[in-house]
Amino acid sequence: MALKTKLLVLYALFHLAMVLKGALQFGANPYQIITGTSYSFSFFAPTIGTETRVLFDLIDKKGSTTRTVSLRDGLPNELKLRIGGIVNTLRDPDLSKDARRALAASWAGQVLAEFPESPEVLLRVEKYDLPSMRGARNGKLLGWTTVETMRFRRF
Amino acid sequence: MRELARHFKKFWLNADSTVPLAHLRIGVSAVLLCQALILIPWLFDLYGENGIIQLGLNRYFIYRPYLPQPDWILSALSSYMPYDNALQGLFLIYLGSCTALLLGWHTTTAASLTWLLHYLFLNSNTLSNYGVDRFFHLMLFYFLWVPVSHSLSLDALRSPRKVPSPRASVGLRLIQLHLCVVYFDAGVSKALGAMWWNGEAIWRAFMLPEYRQFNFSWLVYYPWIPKLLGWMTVAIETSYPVLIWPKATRHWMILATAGLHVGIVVLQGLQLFGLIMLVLTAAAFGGSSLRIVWRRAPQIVVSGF
Repeated sequence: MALKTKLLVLYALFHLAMVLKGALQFGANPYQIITGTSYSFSFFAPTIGTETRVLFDLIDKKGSTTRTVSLRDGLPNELKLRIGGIVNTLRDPDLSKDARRALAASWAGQVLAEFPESPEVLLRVEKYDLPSMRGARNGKLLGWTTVETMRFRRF
Repeated sequence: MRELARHFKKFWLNADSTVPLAHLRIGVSAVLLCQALILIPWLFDLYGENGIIQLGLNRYFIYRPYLPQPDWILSALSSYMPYDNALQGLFLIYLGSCTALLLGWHTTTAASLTWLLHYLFLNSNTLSNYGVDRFFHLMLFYFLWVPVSHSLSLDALRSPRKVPSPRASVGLRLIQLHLCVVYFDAGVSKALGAMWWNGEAIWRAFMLPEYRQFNFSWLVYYPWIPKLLGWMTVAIETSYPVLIWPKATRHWMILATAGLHVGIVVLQGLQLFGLIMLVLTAAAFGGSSLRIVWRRAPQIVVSGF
């Protein structure tokens, strides 16, 4: 084997070691971050969590809800998945209160800009309750539950 | 010892064709291009100044701020043109480089540019990334140094090469081993959760609104179906690194993996993720299987009519 080929195989073994390190989630070094060898592949595992959505109730001057809009209305699957990832962050316990509030406020601002006739918007964070198969067989209901609300008023 | 060294050398350097790498290049760049085309109408929502994550909020959500982001280039250009116009221009270059990579036209430059721009977008709106982006990222890195244009490319028209170079051979083996790690990791991490043994994981994967394509609520009366599907998923993924290598089991493993990913595409609506996984196994391991399909396809079509 030529020296160049030997070095090539050595590099491949090093890269493979980084792939294994990433899969075992033993931290990530700069090489792994750049090459994508830092990833683990535990998709949908070991459990599958729940889903979060954000709804915006547009409120008129009398205080009644005139319309409800969602961040995922009419999007193709590829976008729904991406928005889903962003929305799930709102229920991330590691997210700071400031970040949560700032994100919610920026979305509320965008909704208020889109519907200038509404002076107020109520943002609802909801999670999907999916019972186990046995629970569903015994009549437990599946559906959305509101876990947090935030109200934003136009200045 | 000498025998071991001979086998080791044979393993790394005995790839017999440059076509699998060309299949990988074409497959990955085609799915990448599909993704880019799907994202065009929502470009500003995902990466724009006033998108879903507004530029000012990035400080909360970019966990590795030292990594390159499109914002670095776009903000520098903002004194010459509006931010969103610069974003459009950057994305247009990205579309062009993906297309050049697909065609195998100036492949080395196209692969470098595609890797760089994809990496910039990957680091920009990190919250919106999911599995498919990981596979693009790690495959595009291979395209930087593994020769993927020696067959089925415009570059190959000028300088065709049928016998793979050591770099091509080592690169292909590394990609194959990487895939084995991917599947084994996915399988073992599923096997560690009770949900994959009692069918609840499949029930949730089919019933959560994000993935629900059909009404599967009837599954509660046939719990053995999700249970069986869960077991099959774990079995396919954990046995992949063992059964994908021997010729006797390779075709069956490719078929089983294809079935798994077609299921993900149809039943969970994860089209691009399912497609990229299908492409990776078919291209990296399916050389002989694909040849059989191509050879028999006319017969199958004719007999179908």
